[in-house]
Amino acid sequence: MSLALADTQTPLPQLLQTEVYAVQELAEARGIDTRAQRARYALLAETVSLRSVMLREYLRDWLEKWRREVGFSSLLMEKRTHPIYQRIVEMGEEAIPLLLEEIQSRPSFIFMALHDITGDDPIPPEHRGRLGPMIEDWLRWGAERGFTK
Amino acid sequence: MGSGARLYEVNSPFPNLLASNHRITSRADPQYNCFAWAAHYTDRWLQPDRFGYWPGDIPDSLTLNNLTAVYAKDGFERCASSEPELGYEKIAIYADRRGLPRHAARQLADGKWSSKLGEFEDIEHDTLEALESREYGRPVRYLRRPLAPVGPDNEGLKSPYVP
Repeated sequence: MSLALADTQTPLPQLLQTEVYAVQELAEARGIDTRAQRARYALLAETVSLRSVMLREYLRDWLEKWRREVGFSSLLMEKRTHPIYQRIVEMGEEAIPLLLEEIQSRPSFIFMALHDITGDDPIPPEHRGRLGPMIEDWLRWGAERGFTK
Repeated sequence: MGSGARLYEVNSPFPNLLASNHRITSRADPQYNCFAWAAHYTDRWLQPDRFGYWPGDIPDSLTLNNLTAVYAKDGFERCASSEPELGYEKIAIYADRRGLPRHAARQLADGKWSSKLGEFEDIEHDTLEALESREYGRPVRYLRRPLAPVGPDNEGLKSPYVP
């Protein structure tokens, strides 16, 4: 900032007026700040987007492996205690939109992870054991909280 | 890929299941499990669990006796063996070494068996031994109920208790 001000050869008394100083500094700084902000947002967006893509990929691989290893079982507890299921639950809230996306396109009991992540239970007793209605209950839960449209 | 291919993989959980002793008879469907399928239900996952269907008047733990009580509500009673009996359909319950139910299969009219493999496909298997495994254990209890008589309003194969 001081270089920019020196170039203008502003008289010292005028330089000492805070308003002028502020205005001249702002003009320079605003440009720099704007570019910096844009770069930051772009970087952030890229990072977030890349992270989201990576998580989706991880989740897809994990789900495939989880299905392969516990798909033959009729016991839900066995599916929930499998290490891969636990890893999905450990993804925490970041996994919520991805899991909602997953159960919408491919209904399965992986919706149980939504319960284990959030502690919520939107399923009324009369829907228990009925996959379709239980999926609908969770999708409605997701929509009400802004996770899905 | 259906589980048909997976069944023959080196890591298949069913060492006795061969291409020659079973046939896949449905698409994979996570809506129902073996316990439901054994009693002809395809709209529920039958298991005492927060996310499963289980009759409210049966204790909510998966034991041989409790599962037998669930099937009894649909007209099944205990019987001595898996041998086909004229006029009856049968269920075989598999259990692990601790005696806990792991699988159930339903007998078909020709004496073969039908099983739902978890969330995967239904298969028809020639013998109960075909699914004996660490995953499912072995058949330990047999149930039976009368088949509906053949008539103009039914196929004669399904039980009068079919929902």
